[in-house]
Amino acid sequence: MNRPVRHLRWTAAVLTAAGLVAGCAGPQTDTPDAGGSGGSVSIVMYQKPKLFSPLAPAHGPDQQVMSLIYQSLLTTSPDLELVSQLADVEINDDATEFTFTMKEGLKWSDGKPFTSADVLFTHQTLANPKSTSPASGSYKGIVGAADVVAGTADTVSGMTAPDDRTFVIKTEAPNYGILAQVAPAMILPKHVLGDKPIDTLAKDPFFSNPTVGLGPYQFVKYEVDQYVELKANPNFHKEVGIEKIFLKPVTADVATAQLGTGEMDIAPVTPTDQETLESFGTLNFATSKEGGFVRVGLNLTQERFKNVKVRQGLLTGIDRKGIVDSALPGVGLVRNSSFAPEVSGDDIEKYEYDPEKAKQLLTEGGWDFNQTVKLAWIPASNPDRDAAAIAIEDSLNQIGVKVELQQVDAGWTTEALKTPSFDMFMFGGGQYSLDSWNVNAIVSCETQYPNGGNTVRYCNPELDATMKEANATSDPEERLKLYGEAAKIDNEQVPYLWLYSPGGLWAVNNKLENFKPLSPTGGGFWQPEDWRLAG
Amino acid sequence: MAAYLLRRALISVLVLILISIGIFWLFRLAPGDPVEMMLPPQSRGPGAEIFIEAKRAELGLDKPIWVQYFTWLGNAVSGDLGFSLDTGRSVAELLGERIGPTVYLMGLSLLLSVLIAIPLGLFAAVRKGRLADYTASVVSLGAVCTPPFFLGILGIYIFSLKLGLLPSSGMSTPGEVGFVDSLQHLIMPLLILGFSGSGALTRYVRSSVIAELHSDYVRTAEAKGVSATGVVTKHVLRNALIPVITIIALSLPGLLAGAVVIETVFAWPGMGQLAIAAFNGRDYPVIIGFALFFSIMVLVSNLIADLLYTLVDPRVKLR
Repeated sequence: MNRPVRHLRWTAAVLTAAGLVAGCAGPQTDTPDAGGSGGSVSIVMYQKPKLFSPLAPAHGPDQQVMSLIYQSLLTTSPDLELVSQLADVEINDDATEFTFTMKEGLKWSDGKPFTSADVLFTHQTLANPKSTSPASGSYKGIVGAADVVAGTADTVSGMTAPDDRTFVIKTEAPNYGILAQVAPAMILPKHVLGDKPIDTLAKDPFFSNPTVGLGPYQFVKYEVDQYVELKANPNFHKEVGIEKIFLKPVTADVATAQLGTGEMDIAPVTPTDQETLESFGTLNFATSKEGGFVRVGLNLTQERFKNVKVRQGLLTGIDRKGIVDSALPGVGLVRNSSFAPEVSGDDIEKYEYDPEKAKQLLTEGGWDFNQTVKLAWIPASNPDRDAAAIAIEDSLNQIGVKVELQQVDAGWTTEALKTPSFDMFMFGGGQYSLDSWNVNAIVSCETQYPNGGNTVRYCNPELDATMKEANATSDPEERLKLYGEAAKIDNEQVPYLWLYSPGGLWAVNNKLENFKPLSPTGGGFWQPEDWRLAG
Repeated sequence: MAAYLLRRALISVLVLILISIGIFWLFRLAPGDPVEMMLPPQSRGPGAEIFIEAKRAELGLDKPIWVQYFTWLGNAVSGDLGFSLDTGRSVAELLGERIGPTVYLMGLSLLLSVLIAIPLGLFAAVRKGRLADYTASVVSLGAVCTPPFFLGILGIYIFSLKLGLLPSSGMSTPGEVGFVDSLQHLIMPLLILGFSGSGALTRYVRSSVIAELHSDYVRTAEAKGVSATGVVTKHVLRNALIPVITIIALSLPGLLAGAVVIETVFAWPGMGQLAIAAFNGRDYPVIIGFALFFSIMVLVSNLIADLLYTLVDPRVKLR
């Protein structure tokens, strides 16, 4: 055979093979042929998951998966309220007894009946430090919890299950906030895990392959670094609309592309990408409320930050509305309180951007304009925070406050916050809308870091007393009034330079119906059993 | 030969111990404690200290560092590399489930790099100083200079988003099993890594061939009437590839360490991603397991390179 013919045959063979490979199917889309049930949905995870365990430290992607396969007594609604999921709750008049009545007829995904014994088992495990759960501290204040922590008891006497459908928590003192602390914990199957020793339970292989749960979906597998596969739970108490869910850890750029190719159906996106995404013509958009907020924490052990006018001046000198308008248009909300806007109300100081007023406040507070202050943050985790860091540097430099930006990682953070050796540190998160008592963890004299979330070391006995009084009040209106008073103290004192609540923007396949978004950073998913894919 | 191999093995064990001591100590100098990092600032609640103390005790991190090291060494000798501080899963299992996909992708990309580099380098060398040489140089420099992540994002934009020809992430479509599906997922990361890796290798091949073309035996072969193609393919190429083979053998450890950027862009479950995640999370057992594995690969590849050299060049003897 002569060379040109042989070359032609090889070329033809190669081109045919390439055509077969490339053209055979192309990127897969997930929409079914027709009808309102079946099919599959792909969702973005913003990081890789670690372990699907309520006993493990909270990790956003894990929470996403767990919200689909497990359920809890109470859960967070899209309106940031605690609502019933597995049980209804009754609270006695002085908020010392919380009685949960399980909904009837619920079954685990393996068909076994769900009872209050599962709830008791889960909460006793979480409350016991031997399980190495970081949640054990949340049970402080429940009768008998201190004995378990001290090692003088194996179970918390104040948590009981008097019958198959009832679970009761008794607190030592009026403590309304305990609901938001413990009721969202996800319930584990006693019939699978109940016989395991408590000190090794956290390492049980079940948590890498949690096939038994109460959620609308059942765990199938985790293909390492690629996707988590879930299938509809055949024993869920309602019909589950979508047969399969795949959660895929991909980068934000790839997620945006996959929303266009149809390989992804649900993804949190940044508002600045909305125009590009709208051009695909296949997506709807939904916004979620955010219970936390991004803030700059000042190291209040440093003398220079102790004067309240300095803090007020720094806050007034940052163009927070400008940051929100450019980085989070339409979803971000400027924040002026550690408390939810519904609690702090509108009658608080807004600290609107005013460079002249800022300079005046700083001067009155004794600020030395010759000194430099470092602003640290973890870059590349949230685009809005990267933009905020640069904007803060610019705003403050303009009023004569010398700011130096410092990019850090999580390792630096723990050391710097513990010592504390930081000047200013920007971070976000938290959940302060569910119950205002959650704010106590970040401002109280008794929750100073590292044994609490008060990283800035703020301490105000009057604020603490007002919040404790609120938490001990069972009347909702009176409680709201007291938290409102606490919010006024907080607003005047500026324990944090509040920046904004980021809000969440979700891009959703326009064939998917009934999707209601929760916070993208580990908020999970709301009633996914109701999702349907239109034909 | 047996004595040589035994000597190399003994030296390797000593080197591995020194490396393990170095990594064990050095890594703990990095700021950040893995247990403290499990609780981000906004997640701290009452009882955080109780959790941290209990967790450190459970993970053995409350013991003096030299006790931790010898405990680890004793276990490692019997094949137990410990458990991830993050997930509690066995380090050996974590490495094991990623070695396959890494070898699959990186092995094929190395092969592709070689298949590009040898003809391109040869082509450039025999046409040295002419347009063909300059073109090949630009291509190979482009391969060296263009960041793989850029090519990855560009590839996804063109071939996935715009042309709809190829999938954009993972080793397979979720829920699907198939050779064609696997191949479709392999194409983009393979081509990008193969192209990127071919750059430097092309330059080596070109330089090596040019050096051989000036040898006396080439002049002899030409004088004896061997054609230009024959001189290159039957004589020069074999000798020119000797140093190139060594370079390829020495690049094997890097192959097994994975390509973290491409793995991240394409959600490929490789060793590189595991290593970066472990480092960022201060997951000491995983990091030291990875470092040990990588060190063994470096030692083995050095040995392979030395043995290959003696096979292809009779002038070289083992000592």
